[in-house]
Amino acid sequence: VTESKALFLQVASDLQAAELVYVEADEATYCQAAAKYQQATEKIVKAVCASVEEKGKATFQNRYTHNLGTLFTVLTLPNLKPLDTVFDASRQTQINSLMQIAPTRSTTLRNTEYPFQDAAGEWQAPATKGVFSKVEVTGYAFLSSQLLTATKAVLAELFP
Amino acid sequence: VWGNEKLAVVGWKGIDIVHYPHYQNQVANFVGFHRQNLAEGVLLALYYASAEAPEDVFLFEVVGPIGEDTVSPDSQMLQVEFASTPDFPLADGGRLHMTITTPAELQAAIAGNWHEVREIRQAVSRQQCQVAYKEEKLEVGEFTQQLLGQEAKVAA
Repeated sequence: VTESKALFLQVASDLQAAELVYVEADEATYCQAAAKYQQATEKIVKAVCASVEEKGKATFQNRYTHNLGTLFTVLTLPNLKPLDTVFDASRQTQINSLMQIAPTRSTTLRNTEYPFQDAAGEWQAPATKGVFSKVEVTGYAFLSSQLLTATKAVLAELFP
Repeated sequence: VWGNEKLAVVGWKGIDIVHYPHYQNQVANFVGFHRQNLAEGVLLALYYASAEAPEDVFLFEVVGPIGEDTVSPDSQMLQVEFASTPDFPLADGGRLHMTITTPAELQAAIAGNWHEVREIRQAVSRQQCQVAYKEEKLEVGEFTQQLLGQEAKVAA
């Protein structure tokens, strides 16, 4: 199996895990589902880069970067059309926004994994009620599934 | 602008071998395309030459917002290499090398004197580096000056 296929398999597993862990009536599960949607989305972008490399369109070094904005620089290049339609500015913004809930070293940024201090200096656990909303998690689910569908369609067109 | 000299020569096969700054206009168009298509925008773009591969094109871009960001744990920036394409035609055998980073990572790279920083500074010392684009922001001016070691000028 190629790296890109292995990544897409893991994406499918991440999305399935997100659906399994999500319980609408239990807000403590929202951060867990959000984490899986964030990881799935990041892997989709990396799977596309792996596909591009496997097809000999480009050679990457250090493409496992967490800075997806740097990868968008490559994926929107004219010689990789129509990938630019998948990663248009609007979707880049949505993905960048989702990536901001990934855990970092900061203790003041909301994330899916570790407690953080809010604007008032109060510690909040990601599982605390209200830290993540149903609307947000639903949006993350929509973004990741829509991105996966669009990506697979365009890759099939680009690399038949 | 550094390095205005024309160094185009004719190779033994009669194929044009082109050196820096032959691709100046193509690079400008390329960077302009990125500026249109990236949600977070291009803050700085440098076109430079490498002594190891003088026939290749080297483009360094700083993208994304200024602020907190992740830094490569192995002190290496994202690098991508392309062969000639219809959108960026290169002389026979030439390659386009792109190095893409973020402001936070660039600051870490300058502080740690990463390989990419050393390569750009060597190109500057050979007068083979030019600013293809620079966002007019104070922070961008500061890290550009730290990287290049002198006041940067934008290519005409």
